[in-house]
Amino acid sequence: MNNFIEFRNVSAQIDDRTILKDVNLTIHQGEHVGIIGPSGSGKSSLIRTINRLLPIHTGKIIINGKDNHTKNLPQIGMVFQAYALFPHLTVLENLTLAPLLHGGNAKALKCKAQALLEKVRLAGFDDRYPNSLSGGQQQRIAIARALMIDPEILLLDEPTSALDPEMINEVKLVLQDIIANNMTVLIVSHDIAFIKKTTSRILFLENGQIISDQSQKDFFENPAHARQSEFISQLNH
Amino acid sequence: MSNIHFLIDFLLFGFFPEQQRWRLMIILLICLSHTWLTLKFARHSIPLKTFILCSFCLLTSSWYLAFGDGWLLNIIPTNQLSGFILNICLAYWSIPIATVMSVGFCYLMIYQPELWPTHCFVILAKIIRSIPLITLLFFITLILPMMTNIEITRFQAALTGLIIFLIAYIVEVFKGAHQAIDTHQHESAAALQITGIRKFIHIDLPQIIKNSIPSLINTYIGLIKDTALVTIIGLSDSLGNLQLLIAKYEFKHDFLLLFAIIAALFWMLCFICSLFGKKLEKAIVYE
Repeated sequence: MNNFIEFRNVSAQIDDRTILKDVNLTIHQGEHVGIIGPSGSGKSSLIRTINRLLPIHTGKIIINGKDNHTKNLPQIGMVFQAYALFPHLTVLENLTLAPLLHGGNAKALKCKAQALLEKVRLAGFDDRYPNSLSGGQQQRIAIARALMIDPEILLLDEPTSALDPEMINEVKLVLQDIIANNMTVLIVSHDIAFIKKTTSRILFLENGQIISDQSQKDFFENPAHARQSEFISQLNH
Repeated sequence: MSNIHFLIDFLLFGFFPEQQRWRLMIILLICLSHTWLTLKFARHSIPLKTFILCSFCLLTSSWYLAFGDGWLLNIIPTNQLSGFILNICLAYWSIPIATVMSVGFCYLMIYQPELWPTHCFVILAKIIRSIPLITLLFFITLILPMMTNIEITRFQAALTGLIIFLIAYIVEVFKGAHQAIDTHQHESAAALQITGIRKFIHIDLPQIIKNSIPSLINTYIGLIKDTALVTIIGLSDSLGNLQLLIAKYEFKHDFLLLFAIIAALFWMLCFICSLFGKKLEKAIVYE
């Protein structure tokens, strides 16, 4: 497996607050990585630096051998905790806007969008507006939108945190179905069961630093750090 | 009261030649149909390109009808467009022009804040918002021609002044409406690589327009009433014509009635505008 995403001494700040400190990380192509840690530990910030939503102050992020500021990078899809759909566009328009603006064929994109809607179990919702949908449905639309660009990297930023238990299940089932084996996936979540089901490797962050990077099995059976054991025990209660 | 019909006619149409009044009637129809067209567009019944083309045609044809070209239609000097119809025309021409120009300035303020034209515009807009409209009208009518040797009619000065004044306010309304857009949408647009002018057109602008309708209508109503100020720079709008009547005739017992008529006409125009705003708000519902 080649090094697909590399963090080289990456630090990031928001105002004067350091949120990522000297992060070094390598993620291989097709790997499914879970990122957990307490609130404010820098989990979301870590994945936001990959698609440049959060600028880094020092270090480098290399994706498929290229700096992430260069052009022709692999497509990166992202799903946010707050869905972030465009309320003035219909479901179909939400899905097709970005690829259309990047030169896609309208007819082909419509077919692709409808196929994806079927995949996320929302066939026939084409002409609905996001505000008329439930949270779970909106999140599934957001997942379909992220997949419209055929991403090689999928970033999931707490995709189930804003949902009630029933909707969480809807979204989890859809995500488990669609995460393809060749897709590199980074999932930030507090939902340990979901992380267990979908990832093979887990990072534990605290104060902007990766304090543990283990395979899923080792993460739970042989925690590398005392803080990690404490966090897992709290989650189990 | 025997002359009341003459007085009302004078308040409405002023010095516009009687044989050519049909042109003014068509202008009124154009104003109403433009309002209807805007509502149709808001309800997604007509596409954007058609709306822009129709709006342009309606505006230019209303201008052509008002002043003619000396070939198909007689030329009417700008000072003959007077009375309440002048108030209507000034509002009708300045509102769409100022709104469209404000969209451009809004883009500059949000996406190109570092450019020097943006800095100049921001400073100018701040100055314009801090001075009374009448000061701006006097500046354009009297001082600007002296400074630049540009000949400008009072009508042109009034229209320019109203447009500039309106832009200074609408841009702030748009800026506020942009701030009301959920920040997550900016992030998701960036994640989808929708940036710059494309983001402004496809994501920001539709929401800016929707969010700003109440304040926008408020600003438009303010402008409709402000058109009465053009009388101070020598244009004969409805109030200007009433002053002429007061100076020339001695129908003093009728003046209260005539003031009431002018007030009723302005109320009607503002009422139509606020009704239009309500319909527009209902038309732009994303549910």
